[in-house]
Amino acid sequence: MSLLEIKDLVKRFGGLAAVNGVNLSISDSEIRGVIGPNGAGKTTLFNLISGALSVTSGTITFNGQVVSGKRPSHIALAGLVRTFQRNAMFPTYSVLENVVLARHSQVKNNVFQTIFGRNQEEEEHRERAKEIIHFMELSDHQDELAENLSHGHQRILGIANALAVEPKLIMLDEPVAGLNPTETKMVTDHFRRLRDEWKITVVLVEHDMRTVMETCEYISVINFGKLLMEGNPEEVANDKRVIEAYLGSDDYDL
Amino acid sequence: MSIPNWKPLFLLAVVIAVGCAIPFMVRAYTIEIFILFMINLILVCSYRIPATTGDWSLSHVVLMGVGAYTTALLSKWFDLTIFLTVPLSAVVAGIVGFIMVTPLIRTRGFGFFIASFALGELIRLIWIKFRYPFGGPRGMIGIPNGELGSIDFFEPMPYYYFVMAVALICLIIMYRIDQSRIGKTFTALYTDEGLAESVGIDVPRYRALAFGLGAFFAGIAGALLAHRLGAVDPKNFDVTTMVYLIIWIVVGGTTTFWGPIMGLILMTFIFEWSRPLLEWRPLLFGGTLIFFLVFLPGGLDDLFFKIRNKIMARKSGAGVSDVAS
Repeated sequence: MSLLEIKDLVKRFGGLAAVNGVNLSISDSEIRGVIGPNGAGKTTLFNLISGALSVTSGTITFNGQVVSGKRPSHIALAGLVRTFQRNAMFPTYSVLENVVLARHSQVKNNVFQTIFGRNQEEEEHRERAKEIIHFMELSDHQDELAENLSHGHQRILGIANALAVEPKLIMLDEPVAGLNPTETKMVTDHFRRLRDEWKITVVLVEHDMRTVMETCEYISVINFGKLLMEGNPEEVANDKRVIEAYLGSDDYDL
Repeated sequence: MSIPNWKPLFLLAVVIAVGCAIPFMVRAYTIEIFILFMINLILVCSYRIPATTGDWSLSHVVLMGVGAYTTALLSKWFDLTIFLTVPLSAVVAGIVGFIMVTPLIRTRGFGFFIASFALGELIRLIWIKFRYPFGGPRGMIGIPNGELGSIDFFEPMPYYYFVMAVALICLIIMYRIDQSRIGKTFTALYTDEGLAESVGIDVPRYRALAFGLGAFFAGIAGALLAHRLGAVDPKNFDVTTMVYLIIWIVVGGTTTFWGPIMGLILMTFIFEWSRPLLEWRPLLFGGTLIFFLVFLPGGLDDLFFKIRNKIMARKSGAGVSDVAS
């Protein structure tokens, strides 16, 4: 059974259809890459799934639940969480506090209990946050302020914040954009472990071909708001249409 | 962590001791100033709650007014004791706050500022327009001062202790809110709304909660004021009063819980010392506001941070900075 099912998804900005009838099906415990040249509609698709944009038509079903048209926070509560291209974190809080804060969706206490109650539950959240930080190999920086971390570590913290939601599926929006090769390796090393050790489905929306080829088992290529093809990395790399989309065809006439 | 946190308890004990001693050391008139100061203390701290989510409203004193009018109506019509009117006024103000914020939540920043002003004026005009039951432009008079057994709260000293107790309870609760997950969520959703949503924080709901909580405590301040003055006047809750509140907040800063309190203390001193220069006061306050906006946009709060960081750097970093340079 597929975990994330996208049917005939359309998003129009005025006359422009940025996403024009995309069908996509992602099954449980998969590492899926979504690639495409600049302006192909990757980011729009991403924002539609995460709820940051509203869909024009079509449906998005996650874990048997229709999530299109819901607020991003509600989609996160359903277990579908996204990361950002930028370094998204709460800069004035420490790494640990960041992850504890991001565990918002797991809080069971109501407002009155939170204000007046004893902090038994908070302790549990701290313990779990420490586990997540340990998993992401950030334990050495646990008490540093997020804004003082290096670029690569900030990106990893962004993923740790997403993990705090206890997601079933994590969508990574160009996670290595703007990182140098060392930092890129540091970040991408974690993707497979997310799936292998924590059974989290990973969807990687990425521009950097190399990262996608190295990490993903199955890749969907998008061009002009439509699904161009799907296949494993070798099939994709050798597909004529994909090469054309990225490099342009050589039989152009002027 | 197993040692009880004695530092805040000690601080609290000192504040209570000093607070209890004050009425015996000053004139009756000064006690009145302290009563007003403590009411303003509740008001200024309650304004910080929605301000931490980035929602600066221009209707906060109107919500205080809702508390004051509720108290006036409850105590005049139903003869309720002050121990009931104060919490009930808070609840009513909180409910009105929730209703007001429902449309306001769709706006942000400057839009929120102006829209909240319009809604606040709407409520204020209702008070002015309806002579019955709100008394029209003259407001309402003859609100009982309240009493506890045979102690009449018309006397400044008993009322001082009553207000002090209420203010302490309110401030402790507001401090707990600030330190709790909820307070941190308020700041977090302001620093990065997109990230907050992505980890499951329902931003509109939390903004509404912050506004409602602020309105609740503003209602308490209003109720205490109404009982002290024995009257409510719609002019007390107009934009001029609001500007004073904003000056306290801007001077104090909103980064920490203590910022608005520091701002209020400083401005209360300036306010009282400038009594001989009555007609110069708006100029003085305007000048202070501009000074802080230009030179200390983070308020006194920020100044304390900077000074502390400098001292810390000097203490620990003398050797380190040598190496660095």
